[in-house]
This record gives sequence, C-alpha cells and structure tokens, in this order.
Amino acid sequence: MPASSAAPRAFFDAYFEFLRKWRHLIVWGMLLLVVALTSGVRLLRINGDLNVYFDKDNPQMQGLEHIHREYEKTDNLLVVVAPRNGNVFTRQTLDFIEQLVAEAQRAPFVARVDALTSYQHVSSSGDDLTVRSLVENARTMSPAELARVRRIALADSMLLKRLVSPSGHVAGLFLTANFPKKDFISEGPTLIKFMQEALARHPHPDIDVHLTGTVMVDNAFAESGAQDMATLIPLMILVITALVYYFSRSWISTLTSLAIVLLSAAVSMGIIGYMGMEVTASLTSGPVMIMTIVIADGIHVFTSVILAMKRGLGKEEAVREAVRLNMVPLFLTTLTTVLGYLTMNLSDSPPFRDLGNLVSIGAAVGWVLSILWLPALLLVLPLREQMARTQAKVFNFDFVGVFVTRNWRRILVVTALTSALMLPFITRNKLNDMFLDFFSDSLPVKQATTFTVNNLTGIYSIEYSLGAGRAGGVTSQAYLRKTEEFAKWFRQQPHVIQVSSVVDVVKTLNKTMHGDSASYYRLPATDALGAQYLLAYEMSLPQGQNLTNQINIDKSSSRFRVVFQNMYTEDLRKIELAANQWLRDHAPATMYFDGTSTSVMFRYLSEKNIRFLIEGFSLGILTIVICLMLATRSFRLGLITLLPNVLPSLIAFSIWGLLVGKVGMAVAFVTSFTLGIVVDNTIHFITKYKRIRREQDLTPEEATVETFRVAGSSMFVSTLILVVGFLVLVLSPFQLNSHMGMLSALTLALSLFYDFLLTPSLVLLLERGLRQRATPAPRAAPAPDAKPAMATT
Amino acid sequence: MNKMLAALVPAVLLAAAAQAQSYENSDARAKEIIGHVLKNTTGYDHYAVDMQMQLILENGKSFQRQIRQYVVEQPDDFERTVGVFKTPADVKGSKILMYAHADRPDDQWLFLPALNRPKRIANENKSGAFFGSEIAFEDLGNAKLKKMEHHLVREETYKGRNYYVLKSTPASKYTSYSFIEIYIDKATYLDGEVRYFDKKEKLYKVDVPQYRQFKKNTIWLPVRQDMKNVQNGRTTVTTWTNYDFTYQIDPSYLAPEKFMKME
Repeated sequence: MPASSAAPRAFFDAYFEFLRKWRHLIVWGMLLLVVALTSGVRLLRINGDLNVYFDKDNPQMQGLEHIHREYEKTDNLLVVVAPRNGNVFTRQTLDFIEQLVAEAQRAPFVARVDALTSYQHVSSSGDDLTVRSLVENARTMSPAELARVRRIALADSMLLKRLVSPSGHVAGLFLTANFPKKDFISEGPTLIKFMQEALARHPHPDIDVHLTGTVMVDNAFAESGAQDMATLIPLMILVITALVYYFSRSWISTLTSLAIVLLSAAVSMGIIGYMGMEVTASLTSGPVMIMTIVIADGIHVFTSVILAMKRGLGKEEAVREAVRLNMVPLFLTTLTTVLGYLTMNLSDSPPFRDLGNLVSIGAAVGWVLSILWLPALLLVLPLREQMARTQAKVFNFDFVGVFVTRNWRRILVVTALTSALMLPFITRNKLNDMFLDFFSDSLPVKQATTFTVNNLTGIYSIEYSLGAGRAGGVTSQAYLRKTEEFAKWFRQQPHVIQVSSVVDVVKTLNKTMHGDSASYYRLPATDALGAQYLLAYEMSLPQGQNLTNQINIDKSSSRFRVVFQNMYTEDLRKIELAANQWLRDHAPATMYFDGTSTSVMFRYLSEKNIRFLIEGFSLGILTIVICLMLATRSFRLGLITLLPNVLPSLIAFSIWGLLVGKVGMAVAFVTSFTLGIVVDNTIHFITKYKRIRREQDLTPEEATVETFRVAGSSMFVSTLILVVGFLVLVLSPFQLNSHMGMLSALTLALSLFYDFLLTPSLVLLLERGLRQRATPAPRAAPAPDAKPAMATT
Repeated sequence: MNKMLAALVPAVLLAAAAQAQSYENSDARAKEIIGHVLKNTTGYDHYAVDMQMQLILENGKSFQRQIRQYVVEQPDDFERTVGVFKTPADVKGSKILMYAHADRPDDQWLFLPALNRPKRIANENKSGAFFGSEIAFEDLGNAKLKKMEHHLVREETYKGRNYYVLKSTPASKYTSYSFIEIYIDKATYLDGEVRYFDKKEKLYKVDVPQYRQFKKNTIWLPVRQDMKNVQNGRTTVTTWTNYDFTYQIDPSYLAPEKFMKME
C-alpha cells in the first residue's frame, strides 16, 4: 500500500485512541448526523425540463426565451389521432377530434388548442368574409361536406404535416400549455392525466391515440428518472449483497458494506438537497455510481480486520491495524475518483455538473464513513472469534504473473499492434444528441413520437424571430418577399418536413379576399393591403385562435418555424449554419436571427461536450499522473504507467465506434470520470510491487508473480464489482444513463485487462530495458495461503 | 317513524318552495338592477368621441391604438357605431361599422382602404379580440347585458363601496366565458367591476370601468376602462375623450354601403 508503512505511526495511534475513546459517540453521533443530512432529500425537486441541460446565458437559450416572450411558450402536447380505417375525414373520427378539442380547451394549463376541426378557415362569398371552424358538428355532416372539408384541409399549407397528414390518414391536436410554476410534479402530469381521462371518457375502439410533444418528453425525463430511482437502486442493493456475500462469505461484512453504501448515497442526496440542486434524469444515475464506487472502501477496511484477526490479533488491535493500513490508500483512491468526477464541472450542462458533484460528495462521504464510522462500529459490535475463521473466496492469479514475466515483450508488441488497429475506429463515433435518442424504445413516449414522426410531423425544429425593423413592418412587401425567399430556400434543404411563416397567412388572406381565386395565392400588391388583411383577419378570429403565436404585438417581427424529420446532430448543424449564413447574405440586418430550438441547443451542447471531452480528459490525465507519481514515488514509473490508464478509455471508445457508432453527451464524460476509478488498480499493483521488491529481495520477475499472488484477486474482485455496478445502469430506460453505464463498464473491464498484462510488462520494461534478454525463469510461486479476495495489503 | 316522515315531507317541500321563491325573487331583482344600469347609460341619442387604447404587455411595453367613434342610438334596437382607425399608421383609414343588437348577435362590417371594399365579418363567434386588445368583441358596449342571463348572487362591500354582485351567463354558444361577475354599485347603479371567468371557470379578466355624467347629468358614459387579463398579465387601458353630443351624424351613413365615407 502506498505510503502506509511510512505513515507517521504517532498520528495513527492518536487517531485510533480517539476512535476507541469516543466509539459510541462516533457511531451514534454520526448516525444522527447522517439522518440530519439525509433529511435534505425532502428538499429535492424533480425537474424534467429539457432546458435544464442548458446554461441560462447560452445564446440559443436566450433566443428561445425571446421567442417565448414575443409569441408564446413552446410547451406543447400533441395528441395524434390515427383511425384504423386510414381516413380521418369520417363523421366518427372528426366527431372524436371535436370532443377532444372541447376537452382540451377545459384542460388545466392549456392556453391554446389547434386542431383540424377548430382550425379557423377563412372563406368569402360576395362581400362576406367568414372565418369559422373548419368542422362544426361533425356528427351531422353529409358525405359531400366531409369531402369538402377533406379537400380544403389537404390543400392548406398551414394544416398539412402539422395537424393532418398529406394522405389524410392521421390528424393531430396541438395543445400549447403555459406552466406558470414550471413544476414538473404538479403541472405537466396534471395535464397529461386530464387528457388521459378525457380519452377514457370518449370511447374510441377504432381509433388509435398517441400522446407526444414536449410535455410528454419532459414527463418521460422525470418519470424515467423516478423509475431509475425505484428500480435501479433496489437492484443495486441486491447485486451488492450477492457479490459481497459471495466473495466475503460473511454476513457482517455484507451488512456493514451495504450500510456504508446506502448511507453514502442517502447522505449525498441529502446534501445536494440542502445545496438546492434539482433532480434530473441524468442525476438519478448518481446514487448507483456512488454505491458502485464506495462499496470497495468498506470491504477494504473490513477484510483488513478479518485478516488481522486471522493472524491472531484481538479485535481492538485488528481494527487499529485496519485503520493504519487503509487510511492513506483509501484517501488516495478516493481522491482520484473525486478529482475524476469533479472534472465534469468543466461541462456546459448543469445536470452533468451536478452529477459530477453528487458522485464526488458521495465518494468523499463513503471515505469518511469507512475510516471513521466503520472502525468505531467494529469496535462496538461484538465480533466473535469465528470471524477469524471466515473463508473468503480467493482467486489465484499467479498464472497471469508467470505468463507476463515470460511474455512481456510480446505483450508490449501485441498491445502496440492492437492499439494501432483499434484506435482508428474512434473516428467512427458519430456525434449525436438528438433528444428522441435519449430514450430507449421501450418507453411509450418514444413509441408515440416515432409514430408521429413517421406519420404526421417531426419533433425537431429550428425557430426564428425575423425582425422587420419597425412596428407594423411584418406586412411590408420587402419583408414578406424576403421571408418567402427564406422559406423557399429552406424547402429545398434535406430533412425539411414543413416550413411555416406569416407568408402563408397573408397569401391565404389575399386569395380569400379575391373571391378564393387560386391565382391570388401570392403576396398582396401593397404594404397597406397586407396590414389591413391582417386587421380584418384578427378581428374575425375567435378567442384562443389569434395570431399572437406567429406575429408579435406591434407587428415588428414574426415567427418562422421549420420542422425536420429525424436526423443526426451533424445534419442539423449543417442546415442551421447554412440558414444563418443565408440570412446574413440575403436579408437586411434587422431580420437576422440565430436559429434556435431545443434541438439546436442540444447540438451546441454536443459540440461543447467534444471540447469538454478533450479538456476533461487532459485534466484527468494530469491529475492521475500526479497521483501515480506520488503513489509510486517515481517520475518514470508514474509516467509510463499512464498508458494502461489511458488506453482503456481509448480502446473502449474504439469498440464503441465499431459496435454502436453514436456518441451522445453523456458518454463524453465517461472518459474523464473512469480515469479516476481505473487508476486505483494501477496504484495497488505498483505500490505492492515496489514494497515486495524492497522488502523481500526478489528479482523483478519474482516480484511480479508475488504481486499477482497478493493483489491479483482483490484487483479482480473490486473491478468485477465496479463493472457489474455500472452494468446495472444499462437497464435504465434513459439512454444517457444506460450508455454511460455501458461504456463505463467496458472501460473498467478493459482496464483490468491492461492492468493485468500491460502494467507489469511496462514495469519489467523499465526494470530490464528493451535489449536485455537474460530473463531468469521465475521461481515457482509460493503456495497461496488463502488470502481473502478483498485484501489490499 | 311514519309520523315523523309525514311531518317532514311538507316541511321539506315548503323549504324548497321558499328557496325557489327566493331564487325567482333574486332573478327578478337582477333583471331590475340591469334595467336600472341600462337606463342610466342610454338616452344619449348620438355622439362622437375619441377612443384611445393603450395595450400594456406583461413586460411593461405598451402600444397605442386610436379610433374616432360615432355612435347613434337605435330606438327599437340598441346602437350603431362607426369607428375610424387613426393609428397605427398601417391600418389608418380602416373603418368598422358595428350594429349592437338588443336580442341577437351583433353585426360588423370592415372597410379596408387598400382593398377599397367593405367586408362583412360574417361570424357568429364574437369571442375574438378587438384590435389586438384584451377586450373581446363580446365585451364591447352595454348591449351585451341584454344577451345574458343574470342572477343576483350576493351583496358585498368592496373597496369601501356597496355592490350587488350578479352572476351572468352569456347566451351565445360561442362565448369564451363560463360566467361573468358584475359588481353593480348600489349608489349609482353602474358597473364598478366586471370579472370574466373562462371556460375552465378560472378568473380570466378583470374590468374596472369609470363613468362620468354628461348631458346635464342625465346620462353616464364611460371615460376610462382598465381591462386586465390576469392570465397573461396584459392590460388594455381605454380612455374616451372629447365627447361631442352636438356633432351632426347623418343616420344614413351608418349603413354598410356608406360608412366608409365617415372620416
């Protein structure tokens, strides 16, 4: 163990005296403190808002807030109505939609309902201008009327691919919601529940209904977070219990380890509650990570006690020995883990900063509990003599040591070759942070949204607020013409489903005012005409159907919205940048606006995460190099053993590129926080190797085999627990979490592989040099005297 | 047991009857109060006035709308109004002719100078906003009082004044209100506050009108109205200035064919 033998004895004696003297106070006092801190959990609020992923000063965020202020909020719920007969223009289906519209208008928080039936259709006969709902009393409509409505709807650019599909087989109700408190417990779910009950009140045996939109997506974020908490944590407890018991064969060991793990998770959640953090879907992976990381600490202390008692020491002496042996190494491994997670603070995304801080707090709490509370508890608990006879599960890894000492040159060559072969696959990772991909296919909202995207409309968009430079300017010829050009340009771009702008409204009005003559479906001839059309139109629209969601109040700017099919972040980037450039090149300065939307914000976040990946990784490397140098007390050794710590992430990313190929922002963090965990095994290996070399007068080869004998099993077991712990996250329906778990597990598994083969090979390389060939055959390994798997010393 | 029931039944019936009686009385009283209000505010014959609307957004920004109004009372119906839009510039010269009917949906015609043709707004739905303001067409004028069912629900002292509180339900199926609470000042028989409740029965808008007496104190007409939409935080402040009861209006101009000639 690093530094343990050299640590000042007097300090540990004083520390142990303190523990022994105040053991009851420590056990109960800390439990009280734990309860007090854990009570902060009550302050935690779940936040499912997608926007939590962005910093408030993000320019695209500000653009979106501008749009919310000038026009309307974009929280929406889309009810997709799909009759089984493939035709929405039937009495039955239109009547159903009408009833849903009436329900939706009464629904809590709903500010506006747009639907096929309540769409305000403008018509004129003679000098009468009629604006009325496209469908009224569908139940009594004749086949001719149904045909007329179908003809109008399928020719209206404002309805098409928004509220009705081009073939008329699917229709939508678009509910715009206004949540005053932005509270995801009391608001969104209330609206969803209302609509689900409304659907139940109106039987629709021959019609399928799907719910999607931001309200549903946000809710799924919150729900999958809650689901994670409810399923993954119990599963994690089960896994920990099984693993610890399997390896330690001791119930006391299992229960105390479990206690440390649960208390760490609970206390850290309580602390972030007091800190005022909000629970996001990303944060819910935190407790599982904490449990995974902290489990080793308790086991280390406990097994040291058992080992000491096996050697014949009394309980008190055994605990003293355990504290002495573990305090510094646990501090070091905790420090590297905390530093690894703290690099997440470089992220631009608050939920990931929170996650990094949460796990850091958890790891620190785990450390304090392991070196303070656990020893005091062990002093208080009646540990019986038979504890010393506990037979823990031990793996014998001598053979690996023997293999490495015989083949270390080949291992180095093979590692170099496989790395050269694998690393290029990193480039196959395509950056993707389209938020629909955040959810696994098993979630209903994912299925509903996929159906919507395939049949009605997209969920990815870009929005603009195009300024006209002056009040009333949106109806000027120049402005409308430029907006029309912009729309035309967008319609030629790939992935574009629908473009909506004030131009559609004005053209429709021009046509209507000229006796519905199709040749007048163009921009009005004068500025004043456009303005006066809008006046007439607005005077005719019923409450809740006005144009304020498209044109701001003094008519100095209008909203321009483009809807896309599913696509990659990269495709969105191309279109967005080209569109901004188009505006710069072709439109007057007042019209310029940086296109924005939730999808666009995720794209910027994605890009920043690439920068983070590099920064975080570099910072992580710097940190562990320092830690390695401190632990090995050698500049050269510290530097060279960086390799087995960096390669696992890189190779894991290569394998990911080969097998998955899509990288979201969550996996960007894996490289930095796994570094802090991965390095522990190297520290264990090197420090033990050095001590064996120093204390036992063995050759490098003999020392290598001996190191495997004493440390191999515990390295294997602690890595196995980590891998299994992170694999638990794979079960999360929230793909950010499951991918993070998967990649972490892969990285950690690889790290064991590298620590078993590459680390000793590199050590031998340093000791022997590349040229020297004389490698004496290692002596046969001494018979293993059954050291428990968890033994770290 | 039976005896008790026998005694109880008439008692219950009696109570129910009394209750019905009081409801009937309260409705009759409400009708009387509304009659009083209408009497208070009609009889002006005709006038011209400058109407100014200030639309104040939730963020404090505000916009002006100016309309010159000509109003002529209709003896057998209610009133006819021509509004000539003065600002904003892009709609200047647009004109609106409104027939406020006592017993059926109002009629509106709009004249757009750029189109140079009057258009009848042939909608039965009057729930839309008037000129981008928080005032709906269905809120305009006092003819609306004739197209509602009124109940006197309570009497209340509010901000130092005594009010009758009427719960009124618009007859139109297109209304955007579930009901309206009208506070009628017991001293003046004028509405001191009107509270509009949306279809979800949540408070939607609060209207505080102010009246002044004209024509030798024979009639009350509005001089200011603060309509606050409590749901979106926007307020429309309307003021009426320069009441002119001598302005001569040719009644034939208050017709769809000729109203565009008014300036």
